[in-house]
Amino acid sequence: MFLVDGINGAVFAEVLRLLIYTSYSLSRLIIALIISYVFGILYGIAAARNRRSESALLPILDVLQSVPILGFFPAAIFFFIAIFEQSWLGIELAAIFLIFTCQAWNLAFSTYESISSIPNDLREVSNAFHLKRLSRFRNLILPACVPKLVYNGMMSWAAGWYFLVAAEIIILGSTKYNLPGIGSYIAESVYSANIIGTIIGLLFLILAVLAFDILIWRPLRNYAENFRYEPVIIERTKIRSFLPTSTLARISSLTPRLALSSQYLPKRVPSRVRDIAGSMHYVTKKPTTFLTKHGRFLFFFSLIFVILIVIIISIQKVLFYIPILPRISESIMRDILLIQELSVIPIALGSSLIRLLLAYVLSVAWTLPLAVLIASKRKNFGTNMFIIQVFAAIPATAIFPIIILATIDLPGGIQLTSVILTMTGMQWYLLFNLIGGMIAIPSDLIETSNMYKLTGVNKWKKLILPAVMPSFVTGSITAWGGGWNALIVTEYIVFGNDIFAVLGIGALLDIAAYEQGSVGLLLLIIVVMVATIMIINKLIWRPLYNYVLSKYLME
Amino acid sequence: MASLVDMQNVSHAFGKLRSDLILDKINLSINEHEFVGVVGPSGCGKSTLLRIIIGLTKPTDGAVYYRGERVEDICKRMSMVFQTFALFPWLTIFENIELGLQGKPFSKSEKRGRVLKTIEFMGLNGFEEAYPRELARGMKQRVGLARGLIPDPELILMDEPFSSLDALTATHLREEVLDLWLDPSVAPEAVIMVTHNVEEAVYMADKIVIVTSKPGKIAKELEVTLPRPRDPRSNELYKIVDEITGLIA
Repeated sequence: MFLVDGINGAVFAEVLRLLIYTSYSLSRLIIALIISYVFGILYGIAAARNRRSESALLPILDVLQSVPILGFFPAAIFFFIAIFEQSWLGIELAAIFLIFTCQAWNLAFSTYESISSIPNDLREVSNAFHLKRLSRFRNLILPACVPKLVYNGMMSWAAGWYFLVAAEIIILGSTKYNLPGIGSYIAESVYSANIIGTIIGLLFLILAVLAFDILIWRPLRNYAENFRYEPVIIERTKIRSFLPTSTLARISSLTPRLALSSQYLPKRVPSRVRDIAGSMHYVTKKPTTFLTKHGRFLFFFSLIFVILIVIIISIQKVLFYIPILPRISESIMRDILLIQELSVIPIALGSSLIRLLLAYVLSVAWTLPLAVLIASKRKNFGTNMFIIQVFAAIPATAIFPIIILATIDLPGGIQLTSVILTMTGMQWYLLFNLIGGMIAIPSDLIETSNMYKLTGVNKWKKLILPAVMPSFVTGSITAWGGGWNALIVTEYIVFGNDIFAVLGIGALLDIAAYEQGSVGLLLLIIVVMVATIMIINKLIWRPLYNYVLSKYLME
Repeated sequence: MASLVDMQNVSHAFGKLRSDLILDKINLSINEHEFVGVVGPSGCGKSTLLRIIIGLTKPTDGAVYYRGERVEDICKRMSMVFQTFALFPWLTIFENIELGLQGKPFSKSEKRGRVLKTIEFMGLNGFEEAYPRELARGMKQRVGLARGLIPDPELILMDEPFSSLDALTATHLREEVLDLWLDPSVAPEAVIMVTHNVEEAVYMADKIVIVTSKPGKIAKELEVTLPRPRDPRSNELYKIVDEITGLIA
């Protein structure tokens, strides 16, 4: 009797702990995503302002985007942990900052792209109606950005999950900070070979991803459909009708009912709750006002409150702890000696490049056919997207040990394993972009190729490949960016007491950060890596992108 | 006259609700040697009607027969011209037109000869290697027409073919289409043209089908017996236009 109770109690406690952990991780991701959105939108607007700010801000963004999450480690450690004296808040903020660094950049890019591609007539009409500042932002800028912001937000969200483990386990010198969260929970379970813990952890994670997709992304995807320019009525009707009919999308048809029910809430329910429930359906409904008056007030009030607190605390801490900083930088002197033996960097860089190339080819090999298949099955599109969303959001880093065990004995050994791990950081960018490109093929072209019975090789050559070419290149650029970022977790994996490492620039970065704890070395490797990425961008991706845009873009 | 197309009780809906019904029990016959104009307010399902006839869209209910045979797949003996031209931006004009011969049993040089002949015939000489974006709208629709004509279809379906052209270009192209229609060496057996421009329909068609909206129903079929060539500004023509406009509004 007692024993059973004891077990039940333990299970209950464990489930409760996991629930709390999941909500911690979710809060971190949500806060980081909100900050990313604010940053991305403001930065994108600033960059799209005029040619001069564009030429100043876009290269900075290029650099920031190519710096892997570990590259922001020194900044996070210096700033947050040092300032907050290694307190819980400092580590927490460092984690949020690290998640932010893998979510923000593509949002800034997509804002910039959306604003630059606003049709001229819409610009002119808003000039003619003297739309200024806030009303211009609300009526022209923001609506134009909504579709890309929603889809990129989904990608950022997935990226946040991917690097969750890296962000929740912060290592500072010899001290390891394990933040309570689902990412660190799964990682710890896997590392200690706790199979049940791993499975339950993954289950909770998938549930969280599911819930977030149903409650947030799906309504937002529907909402974003209202902001597209294309005038093809038949396709639109189809798209709108299939989303709510798929079983998982019922929620968006549920929100109006929720709004209606807010009128019948008991009297003692505070009016604020009533207002929030009543305004829920705006998220899924027409693009009129996004928040009600009260909702807007609440939102701005809490935003200002949070910002004020952050400002006050940081000013106080900065003033107090500035004298500490020089002590940390003493270690840089030591690192300068280390750097002289770094002839291994070029070789590591070369092998990382080969690894990325292989992972890229393998990713293309499976994502391209799948994207075509998914786009052609419009009926189940919502459900299929959802399944992909779930897979993409599983923080692959947490299950790396499982992948390692499954692939280490294959021919190719640890090198192949590392390529497969690297794929997990590249493939989703490709898949999402390719599906986006396939969906955007104008219906008249599809009808024409159906009419003339384009099939097989001819269909690929004349319709599919040219039509997805722009998104293919965009997807490739982001996939390579993701790949470079992923190298730090795919070339060097700590598994229990074992370390799986292959020669590569990412592994070097880890050694610098974790084993040597040397900021100087870390910075040098990051500079080499960023320089390489920028040279590749300049020499390969930019020209390719311009060529593809001039040849394959729809009018 | 033998009938070419027979639509029997064709209904189409995009969803399960009553308000999703686009076309409601359409019965329509198209005869040989008939230029049919389908007019109606926007959103009445005219375009869907065309797509059901050619087999691009499967109707929710009812059946379409072509020369007595049920249309199950996309019908090879028809071809369609789009309002948006539907030209592949990455293919040259030559390649775009050649698309119309896809799957036909011709050799490469035979295909080339046919495409060049059509290019010549449609007045597109010199544009063979150009890309669609380099062409004016009127020229683009010529390419669309050339691609529609080259498979030598028995029935040509035109979905608002002149609606995205400027008035002057549209007038010219209308004349050319009528010339084609009256030239027995190239004319198809029949043409169905969807338009919201009533004058255009009365000016060009032998028979006018008036579709009302929500859900789309055939309100009336009307023979236009004015002798050709017609005067687009004659009183007789405008009398018919007024009658039709009255039915739609």
